[in-house]
Formats: sequence, structure tokens, C-alpha cells
Amino acid sequence: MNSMDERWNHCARAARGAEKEAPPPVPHGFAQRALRSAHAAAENAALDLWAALSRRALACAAAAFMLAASLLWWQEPGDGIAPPALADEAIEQALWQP
Amino acid sequence: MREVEPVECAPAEETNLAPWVERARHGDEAAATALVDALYPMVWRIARARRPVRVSEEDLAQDVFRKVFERLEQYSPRGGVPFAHWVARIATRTCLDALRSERRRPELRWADLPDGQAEWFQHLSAATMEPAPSSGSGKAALEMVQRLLSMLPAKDRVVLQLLDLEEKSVKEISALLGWSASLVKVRAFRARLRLRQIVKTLKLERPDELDG
Repeated sequence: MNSMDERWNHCARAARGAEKEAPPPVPHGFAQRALRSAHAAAENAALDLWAALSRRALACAAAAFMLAASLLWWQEPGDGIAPPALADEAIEQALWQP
Repeated sequence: MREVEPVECAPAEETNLAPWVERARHGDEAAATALVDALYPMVWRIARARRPVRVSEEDLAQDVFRKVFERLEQYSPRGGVPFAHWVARIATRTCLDALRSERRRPELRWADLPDGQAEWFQHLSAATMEPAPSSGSGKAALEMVQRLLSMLPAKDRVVLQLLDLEEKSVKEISALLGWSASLVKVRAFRARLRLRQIVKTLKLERPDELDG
């Protein structure tokens, strides 16, 4: 074994032999504070999720509306413009008249 | 409510905490308080051994219990993991995160070492196997070892702490940290190399009068 490793193990063994510190008693109100912060964190997480979902839902709804409107417009293009069939016919007749 | 036996360390844990866990899940504050009372010593010890310099054990313990109560729904005793082990895992990872977010690791200089620690450092850095400092100086050895470990990156520090100071097996460490066994071994190997480098650098700074 490497001598440095050997000396390190020796130090670690001595360190393990050190007297262990006793943990202090649980601070007053510690559990309640932990519970409160856990609930607050859970609520914040839910709010954050709701906000993120709302933003996404709004964006999706806007995109869907635009898509639907463009499809509708694409399928019914003739509503606002007169059909060219009559005009074409009149031009054709005028051209072929001697 | 019956008092719950305090749990000192996770592997030796025998206390059955399942009924309290179940009641705490349903919002029973008294059961949650009993769980904190039972597990606080264990969490405090974990925080004490692995905390960053500027964070107190109590703050870390508070963070650990916040996460425990936040994730209580995720714990399942059917997974075969006792509750105390599950909490120990959260505590170890919380400490690791706290160590990783530490902006600067503490520096160590010869002049900072009190006599007892300097003696142990001299023993560690000696070219030949010198006799160890007198017995009964375990506390100085622990402080010196902790100081050296605090100079390592977070993951290296935690892995050496668990392996060499707490004598955990590779299997236990991989369960605590969620790493594979081979990753634990590789990290331990690299951590020892880094430690050797630190010792070498510190040794070069040593005042000449100590050589004699």
C-alpha cells in the first residue's frame, strides 16, 4: 500500500476514535416551521405550474384560433369578391364580335 | 401519542416509523412532529459532518425536513427502504447540493493549524512513517481531516467522508448518493489523488523550523 494512503488511513482511524458530539435537542417550533415551509413550497409549485399552464393554454388557444380562421378564409374565398365567370364571358363575346 | 425512539444513524435503525409516516401524510401535525423528534439527531449528524462552512446544521436540517414533508407522498415502504434510510438519502443529497453551491472552498495554511492539528498534518505529510501523535488526540485528528476534506470538491469530500470517516461500504454509498458502485470507486480514487496533491502543496508551504 502507498505510504501516504497508509498515513491517511491512520489519521482517519484516529479521527473516527474522536468523541462524537451529541446532537442538540430539537429547536422549539422546528417541526412546525418545516411543515409550513413544505406547504408553502408545494403551494408555490402549484401556482407556478398553473401560471405556466395558463400561459401555454393561452398561446395554444390563440394559435388554434388563427389556424381555424385561416382555414375558414381559405375554404370560402368567394364571399366578398364577385365571381369572374360573367365578366370573362362578356369579354369573350366582345372580342369575338366582328 | 407514544414517544418515538430517536434514530441516531440510518443503518442501525430498527424503529418502525411507518404508522407516523402514514398519519403525517394525512396532515397529522403531531405525527409529523414525532417524526422530526425521532429523526433530528440523525439528520443533525449528517449535516454536521458534511455542511459547508457558512451554513449551520440547523438551517440544513430545516431544509432536509422541508424536502421530506414535501415529498412524503413519494415514499413507499413497499420499496423495501426504511423511512430513516430514505430521509438519510435526502439529507446527504441536500448537503451535497449545499456544498456544490458554495462559492469558494475554504483555504488552509500552515499558520492556521493549531498545534494538535499541525502535529497530525506533519504525520500525514511525512516522507517516512513517523510515529503518530500521542493518543487521545482524536479530536485534533478529526479537525485536521475535516479541514483537508473541506478543500476538496463537494463530491470528493462527501465520498471520502462516507468511506473513510464513517466506514460505509461502497454499496451503502451508492444507495445514499444514487451513484453506481464503479462511480463511487472512481470518485474515491480521484478524491485521494486530489487530497495527495493538496497535502503536497501544503507541505511545501511548511516553515523550515518544523522540519527539524
